[in-house]
Amino acid sequence: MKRKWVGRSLVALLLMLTVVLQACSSNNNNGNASESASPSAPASNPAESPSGEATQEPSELEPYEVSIVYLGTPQKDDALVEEKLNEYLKEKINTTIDLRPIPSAEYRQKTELMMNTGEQMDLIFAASWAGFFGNVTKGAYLELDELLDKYGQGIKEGLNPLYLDAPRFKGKLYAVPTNKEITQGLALMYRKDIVDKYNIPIDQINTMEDLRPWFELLKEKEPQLILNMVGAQSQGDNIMYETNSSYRAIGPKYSKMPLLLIDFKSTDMKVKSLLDPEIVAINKKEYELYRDYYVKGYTNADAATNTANLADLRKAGQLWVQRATWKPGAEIETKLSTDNKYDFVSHVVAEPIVDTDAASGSMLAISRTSKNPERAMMVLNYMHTDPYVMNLLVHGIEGKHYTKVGDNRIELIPDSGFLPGTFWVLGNQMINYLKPGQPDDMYDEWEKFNNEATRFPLLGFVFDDTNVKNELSALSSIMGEYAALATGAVPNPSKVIDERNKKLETAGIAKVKAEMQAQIDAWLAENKR
Amino acid sequence: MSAPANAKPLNQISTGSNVALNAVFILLSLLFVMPVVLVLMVSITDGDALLKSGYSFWPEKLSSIAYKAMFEDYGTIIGGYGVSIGITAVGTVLSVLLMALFAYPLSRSDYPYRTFFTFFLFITLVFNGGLVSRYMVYTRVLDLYDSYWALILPLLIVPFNVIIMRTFFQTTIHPAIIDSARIDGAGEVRIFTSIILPLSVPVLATMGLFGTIAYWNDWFNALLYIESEHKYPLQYLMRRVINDVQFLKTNITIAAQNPEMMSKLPDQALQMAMAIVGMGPILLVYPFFQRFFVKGLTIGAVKG
Amino acid sequence: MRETVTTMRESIIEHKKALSYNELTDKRGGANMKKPRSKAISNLWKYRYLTLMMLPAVVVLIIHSYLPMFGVFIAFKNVNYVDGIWGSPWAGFDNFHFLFQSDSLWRITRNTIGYSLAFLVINLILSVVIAVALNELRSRFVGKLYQSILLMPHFLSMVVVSYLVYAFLNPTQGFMNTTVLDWLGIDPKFWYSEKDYWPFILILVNAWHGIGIGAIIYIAAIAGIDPEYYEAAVIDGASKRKQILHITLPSIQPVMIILTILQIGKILNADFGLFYQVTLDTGMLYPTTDVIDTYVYRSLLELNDIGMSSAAAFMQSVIGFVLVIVTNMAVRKLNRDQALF
Repeated sequence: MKRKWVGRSLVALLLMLTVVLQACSSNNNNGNASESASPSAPASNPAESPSGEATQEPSELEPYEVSIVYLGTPQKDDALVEEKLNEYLKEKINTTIDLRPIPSAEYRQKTELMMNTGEQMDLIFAASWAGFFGNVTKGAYLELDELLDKYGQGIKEGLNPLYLDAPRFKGKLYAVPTNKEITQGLALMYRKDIVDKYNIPIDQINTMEDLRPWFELLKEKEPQLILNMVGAQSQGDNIMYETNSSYRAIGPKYSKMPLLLIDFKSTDMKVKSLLDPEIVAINKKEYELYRDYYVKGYTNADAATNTANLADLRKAGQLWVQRATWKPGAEIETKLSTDNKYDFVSHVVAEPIVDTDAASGSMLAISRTSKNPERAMMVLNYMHTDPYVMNLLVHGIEGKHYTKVGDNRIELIPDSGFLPGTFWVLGNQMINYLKPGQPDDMYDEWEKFNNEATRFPLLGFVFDDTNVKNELSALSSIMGEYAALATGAVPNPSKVIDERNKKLETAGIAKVKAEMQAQIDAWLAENKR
Repeated sequence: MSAPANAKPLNQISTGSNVALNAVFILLSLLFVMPVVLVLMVSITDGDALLKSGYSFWPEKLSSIAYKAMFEDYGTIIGGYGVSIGITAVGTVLSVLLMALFAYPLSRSDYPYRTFFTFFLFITLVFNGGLVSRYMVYTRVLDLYDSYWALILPLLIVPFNVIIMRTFFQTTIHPAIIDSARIDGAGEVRIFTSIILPLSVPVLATMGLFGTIAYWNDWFNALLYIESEHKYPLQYLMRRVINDVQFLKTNITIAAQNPEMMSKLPDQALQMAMAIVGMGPILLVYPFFQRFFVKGLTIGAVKG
Repeated sequence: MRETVTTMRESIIEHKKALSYNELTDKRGGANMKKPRSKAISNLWKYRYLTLMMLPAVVVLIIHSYLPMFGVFIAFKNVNYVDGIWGSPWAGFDNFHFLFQSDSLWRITRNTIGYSLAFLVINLILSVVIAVALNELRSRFVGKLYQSILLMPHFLSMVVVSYLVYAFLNPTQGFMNTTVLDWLGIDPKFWYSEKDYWPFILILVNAWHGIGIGAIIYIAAIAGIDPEYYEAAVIDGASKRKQILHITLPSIQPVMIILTILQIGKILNADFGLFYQVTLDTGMLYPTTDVIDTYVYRSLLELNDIGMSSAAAFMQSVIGFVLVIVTNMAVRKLNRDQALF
């Protein structure tokens, strides 16, 4: 007995030591974890960028290596591309580049670890769907307004101004979006050959209900088709809200379904939740419709669990219509994804709106741990203005990885050793060379598209979830449990909707709604538009 | 006088029982191996056939595209094999050795610190500082980022296995043996190497097997700590291929701009191929360990 | 010094004699009482070799497990990147609230513990039975073959297993619906919507996946049993059944007990792959398949709050720890040697 006592107390001592160590170190704020703090003093608010110390003239610039952490698969020839970039940028701004691609599936986890340990990084890819806003509140990125003004003129000129409204938190800019299509509309995309065969007036089909007569027809005539493909990849509310109302999602989405919505055409910006009668009505109507389609056999029987890949099914010719995001060139992309087997036509059912999520889907930020943010911004500026730099990063070295076939056109060399797939990830995509299948005026179309897109009234507003984390965690779980409602595989959807909503109520959705409303009101007051 | 190791004939079960038992095992084996065979078949099934008719033992159409996609970058794959084999060999040997060295004193009832150290070990089994803090220790304190040690260290001591080893030592090694050796004048180290280890071959082989499996299959540590392409072990590389494939498939924009990539993405077949390739080497190595799970190795121990 | 072949009873008596010899040399009580302080030092010296042997492993454990132990505090803090783990503000028990405020708390706890116990008992019984049975086969070669085959499922990742299960239970193309039920004349079932079948399905899959490797430990244990016991039993005229009951099983009992105690320490943890991948994360099945690990994962997927996930892990650890201590105490009462400590 006595021995065990001694043994146990020794271990307890060990544990206590860790506590003491803990307490001691919390006095040296920031001591161990982040040895490479940026020149500015650490604070508990997202750090401010240091006031100018770097000079403008290349001859006066000190050599510095800018690391770029981005979403991409490491390629064999990364080092070669890096070399070329270094040659070029050394001459211009005495800078070398360290490319650090991280595979997509690991990106979030790895970058979080790197941020948690205060690792030194300069440019880092960020996106709304990859935890950008959460990281901002935790202080991962530097504020960019000043830097942008000083060294990012080219960026400001190239980007649609709406872009710079999105990645803001409490009014300050924390990342620079990639220049491409700024948002996407929602469309129903059809296989051209089927549309032609049956003379389907796709321009008149604006809701899922409108598809009914065609489902009926095709069930008879084309039995090999899956008429209404629903599966793990397309789960979520699809186009329910967009085709039945002007309510749009705001705030967190769970299982691709929002908890809160707002009428983007309204003037009073009142937040609605899933419990509000108008929303419940839309839910019930659409889910009953889906249930009907399921029962009638228009929807695949394994809708609730299907994991098959849409691309594969498309290529195998089993699909004829899909809900798809739309931007100029979408039909061509889809055609390419079927190995050019089928042509597609589409009809936009929900106009493209630029909201915060859409505009911040692909950005580059500057890490708090950067030792020379000015230089990082300069490099970023090059990425937005210099086609040479951009094409190196995205396509590789001419002759080795691609051949030039026209003034602004290239063809990629297969198996060349460089194919990172980063065309949506970095810089300014509009200065890239065009590839086979992309129309000559693609970038003009994109610009036009961007300019014509409607601005979501709350663009730039970001929900701070600190006060409602507990409620959100419970709500997240409930939404996951009832996600199958949207597939039609659940019998008695209206009853189940009521069941779900009751649970949501108990979990505190009203509190989240109130919090959201309060934050929106405050934001509107500050940003009188 | 000890009986010869083949005392079995005297003590065998009846022929009838043997037949019955074999029948049961054959049935069981079929149930266990069929799914694995299915995995093999799917890995060579053509993608379109998979979509249309699902999994089948007799695929409509065969295709080696999954294996081609995986091994096309064979330079990297070969390197991955090399890394995996190296890490597994070194790791397993070190692991068994260190765990045995730790477990043996724990099993000695006269060792005064055994309770303390058992507790010391047990705490690590139950309490975990979490991924972030471990990452910090490895990369900041130990500076092991992008180093092979970061792949070996995490799996060296498995508390679960250490406790099993301790139990084995306790039950199979008669205390009288140790005492008689001590009386004969042997030191602790000698007792360990010439008595304990030989007597514990089954458990050492078991831990060797477990260690091999653990090291061979580990990809997570590579994900966390390795950045240089040539240092990646096989499992990680294969997993990365799959993850990329899946990511590409869900992102039509990227896929469309890379028609070449699209044609070689068999997804499910790829997963199955990866399972087969990963499993193969272990099953080859396993018979080597099986040799040691044989009775009779402790014969003669209590004598002289 | 050669011992003669003894009967089973006599060898046990010898064993007991040896034990009491050990007790004499044991430092506790007996004639060798010295003053405490110098005893501690003389102990350290006397057992220096054994202690040094443990050193390498101790170093590894410190590096890998104890140094990162400070991460446990993340559960009690509100960590941000600027202050890092050390400097971030304390949050008391805030991070734990989401667990206890949840509607599903009872459900996920019941599921987790229920499955853990079921897995424990069933896998234990099956592994032992297989190990004993394999040992009895006449042909060692055939036995090894079966052993290898039984081990195969263990190497399939849960993702692959989920595909296999899907191939089996798919409503339209699955083996069950198209072949088995068809043959039995029952209507096809939507397996992924019927929550009541899943406890059986999961237990079955878990057993299929785990008894191959579980049996190995017992096979090794049986290999370590001194054949003399069996010889003595044969001479005594004991039947096979008696031999198994009185020699084989008792000899592997310590291993069974230890493994059970250790697994009780993990009772609130579950195989995430099994419960998340194999069920395809189907919401309709949650009432019978949602466990603590999957619930926490789902809740925090979007929130990405490291404090809250640490809190959940901490709670699992603490409860597991307490349970092991309690179980260990109970085992000690019954049979002191076979306890963990």
